[in-house]
Amino acid sequence: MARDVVAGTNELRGSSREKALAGFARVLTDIPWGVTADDIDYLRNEGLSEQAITQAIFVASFFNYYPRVADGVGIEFDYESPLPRIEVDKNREPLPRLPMDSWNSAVDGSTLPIFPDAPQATKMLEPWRRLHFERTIHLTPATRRLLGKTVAEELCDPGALGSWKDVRSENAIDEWLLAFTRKLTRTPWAMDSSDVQTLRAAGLSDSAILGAITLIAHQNTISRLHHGLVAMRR
Amino acid sequence: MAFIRTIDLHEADDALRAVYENMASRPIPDVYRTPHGGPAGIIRAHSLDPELMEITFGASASYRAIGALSWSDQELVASAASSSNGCFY
Repeated sequence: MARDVVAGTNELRGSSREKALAGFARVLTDIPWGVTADDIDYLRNEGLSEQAITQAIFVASFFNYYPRVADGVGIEFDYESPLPRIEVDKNREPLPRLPMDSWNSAVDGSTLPIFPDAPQATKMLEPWRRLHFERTIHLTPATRRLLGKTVAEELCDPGALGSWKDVRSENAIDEWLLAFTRKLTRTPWAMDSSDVQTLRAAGLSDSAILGAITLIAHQNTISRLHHGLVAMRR
Repeated sequence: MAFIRTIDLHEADDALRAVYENMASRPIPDVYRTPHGGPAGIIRAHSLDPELMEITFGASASYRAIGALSWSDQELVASAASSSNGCFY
C-alpha cells in the first residue's frame, strides 16, 4: 500500500481501512483547513479507535515537518528503502486557501495540542516549542513569531494568527524570510539551493537558516495537529 | 550536497557526537539504518544544532508511545503525507 501511495497510483491496492488512512494523511497535508468531522467519522467507520485516529493525526503532522526540513536543507535521501522514488513536479501549484471568514475559529496553533490519552506526547512537545519560540540566538524572538504568524496565515490557523497579529516585518531580512516561509509552507517540493542562497546573501548564517527552516516546519506540524484534533472533537 | 553546512560523524565535536551516538542507540527498524553506517541525512540536516536535533527527534518519537497504529500503518500515513509534500522522505 505504501508503495502505491508513493508511486501516486490512482487505483490504490490495500484494504478500505488503509485507503482511508492514506487519504486522511493527504487531506491533512494538502488542505488541513478542510479536515472535517466527516473525515474523522469516515476513519471511525473503518474501525479505527480514537487513539488510532489521534496517532494518524500525529504521524501525518510530523511528516509535514521532516519533508520540509529535507527539502529546505536540501539533503540527499540515503536510506535503502524498497519504495519507488517519486517523480516530483516542481511546478505543481498548491491548493487554494480559504477566505479568512471561513476559517475554523477553534484552531489555535499558538498553543500546544493536548493529548489526554498520551500525556508523554504533550510533554515531549513542550521543549520543542520553547526551542523554536523562546531562543534568542540566530533569530530574534520577534522574527521567530513573524515566521510562525506567516505559517499560520498560510494554514488558515486563526488562533495563531490572532496571537501574533501585532508582529511585523522590521527589515529586509525579515522580508526575505517571509518569502522563504511562504514557499516552504505552500510548495516544499519547489525548494532549491537559490532559496537558501538568497537568505545567505541577505546576511543570515547557516545556523540561522536552519533555525528558520525548522521553525517553519515545526509550525506546519503544530497547526496541522490542531486542525486534526479540532475535527475529532466536533 | 546540502544547501547549508552539515556535519558528518567523523568531524563532529563532543556534543554532536554524543547526540549522534544517542540517536544511533535507539531501537529503529533496519530500513532506517543507512548503508554508509553513519547518521541519516535527515538527522545530519540538524547537525548545526545538536540540542535541536535531540529534542526534535524525541518529540516526533513520542507518538510511537500512543501505540494504537501498527508500524506499517504509521509508515503508510507517513508515506502519504510525504508524497503529498512531493518528498521521498
